[in-house]
Amino acid sequence: MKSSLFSSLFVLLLGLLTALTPYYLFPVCEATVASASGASIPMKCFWMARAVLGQGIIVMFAGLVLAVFSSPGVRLGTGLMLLPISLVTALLSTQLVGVCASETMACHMGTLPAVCLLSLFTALCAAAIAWKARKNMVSLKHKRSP
Amino acid sequence: MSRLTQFDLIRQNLSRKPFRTGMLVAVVALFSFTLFCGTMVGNNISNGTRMMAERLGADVMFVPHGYEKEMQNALLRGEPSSFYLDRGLAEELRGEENVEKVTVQLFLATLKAACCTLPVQLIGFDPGTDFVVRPWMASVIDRPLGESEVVVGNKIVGETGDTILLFGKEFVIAARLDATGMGFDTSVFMDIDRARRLLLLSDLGPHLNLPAGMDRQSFVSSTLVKVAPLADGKSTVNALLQKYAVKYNLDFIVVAGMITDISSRLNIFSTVFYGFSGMLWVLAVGILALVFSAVLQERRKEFGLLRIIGASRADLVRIVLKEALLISGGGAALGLVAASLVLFPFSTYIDSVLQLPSLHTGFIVPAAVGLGVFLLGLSTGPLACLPAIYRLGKVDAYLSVREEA
Repeated sequence: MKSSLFSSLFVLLLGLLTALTPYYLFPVCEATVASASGASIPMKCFWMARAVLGQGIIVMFAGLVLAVFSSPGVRLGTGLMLLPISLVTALLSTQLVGVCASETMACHMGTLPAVCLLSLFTALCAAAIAWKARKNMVSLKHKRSP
Repeated sequence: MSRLTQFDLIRQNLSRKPFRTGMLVAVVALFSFTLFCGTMVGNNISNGTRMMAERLGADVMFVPHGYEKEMQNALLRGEPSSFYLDRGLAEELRGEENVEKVTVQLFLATLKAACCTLPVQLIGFDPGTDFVVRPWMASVIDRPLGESEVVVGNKIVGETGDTILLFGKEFVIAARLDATGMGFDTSVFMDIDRARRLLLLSDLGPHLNLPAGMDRQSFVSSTLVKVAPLADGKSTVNALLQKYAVKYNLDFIVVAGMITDISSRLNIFSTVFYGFSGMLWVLAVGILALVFSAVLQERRKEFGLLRIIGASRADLVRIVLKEALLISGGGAALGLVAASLVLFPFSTYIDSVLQLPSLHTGFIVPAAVGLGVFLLGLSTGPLACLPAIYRLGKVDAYLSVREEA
């Protein structure tokens, strides 16, 4: 029981960190580029930050679900769904939206590795939660059957 | 019923007290994390400093008064800046005794370059007299640059053949330089006269605020001097300063002094960090020794029973040693993994925070350092449990069981 609460809170923390990283921990670039019409528009890292914020909120919600529901089935499902969510979070910062090309830009040297690492930790945590839940389901099944 | 093996005993012993086991692993992990990070950072700075000493080539650099810091920042960190110096200084220095070579450079900060609107340092060099950039450029391009060609530092975005926008004009990237760990990695190099014309024809040209009397067609930013090999560098520089400092309103940077300053900072860092790592290692060994001593005391009955059912003293020693190895090996591995997750993905960020020349090596050095750190961490456990093992050998099986009865 204790370890399940701990893992749930850990997922909640990971989600919070994922949401906050592009804005506070390793902020993305603030500069803008000029469009063809002459307007100033944010660079793609700005949009990546928004997308990652959304992903972080989803992970936080998953953490809350894990904290509230102790049923192995719910925990297994939530853990499994967190896997593609963390993969997409990492892909948002690398392929799907990406960051500025220059290595010395703030988003490239700080935000990108931080988001990727947080996604990795979320995926590992999710895999552990799913595995533990599956194990509990199997042992419950054995207890019920004579 | 499956047999109870030594490994089963060890696993159960460690998992019975997860918090204690976790703390012991964490202590060793902290040590290996600190040692690996500090060693790699120190190694990268050392490489960067050595590369800087090889690349710079000049003995002294003359810059306009008050721009010494800007010049250092441009060299070390690639922070773009613009400053202007009369070219006449270079002409006069060429005639000086004890001066072997003189060249000039023009430093310009662009507003936009490749992507992302970050200013980029543009460095104009004189192909006829340069002895700093050209030797290094020769390894990637063996012909003079064309009218609209530039050479870029290693961290500039764009491949050879791509175009780059500078002061509203497009240039073709003719070559990319190897990494240096210095500010040159984020700089763009072109012919000095072309760079000057580019600036004068740009929007900034009419508003260019040159010092009074400076020729708009031939100004530079710095004059680099190589002292004759047999001359005394310090006295030569002093003599030149006395002669020209007031006339041209100069500041200067002695390259050897700059490198010595960085090296001494690196030495201080190394001393502090290796001292701290040493303390952590002693702490890890001490804590492990204390805990193992206490653990073996509380398990005297268990060991006595094992002896009674046929385990030899050597078997008991093997169990204790393997537990120690598992803890210290697990801690060392965990520390290395954590250090790798911090150091490698955030290497550019760490370099920007340190603000020192930093050149990363390939795979071999980090692997060798990692192996060394792992072995050192692994040795912590067995070393720590030696006193306890010694006492274990003296325990009588019957007495240890009887005392608890």
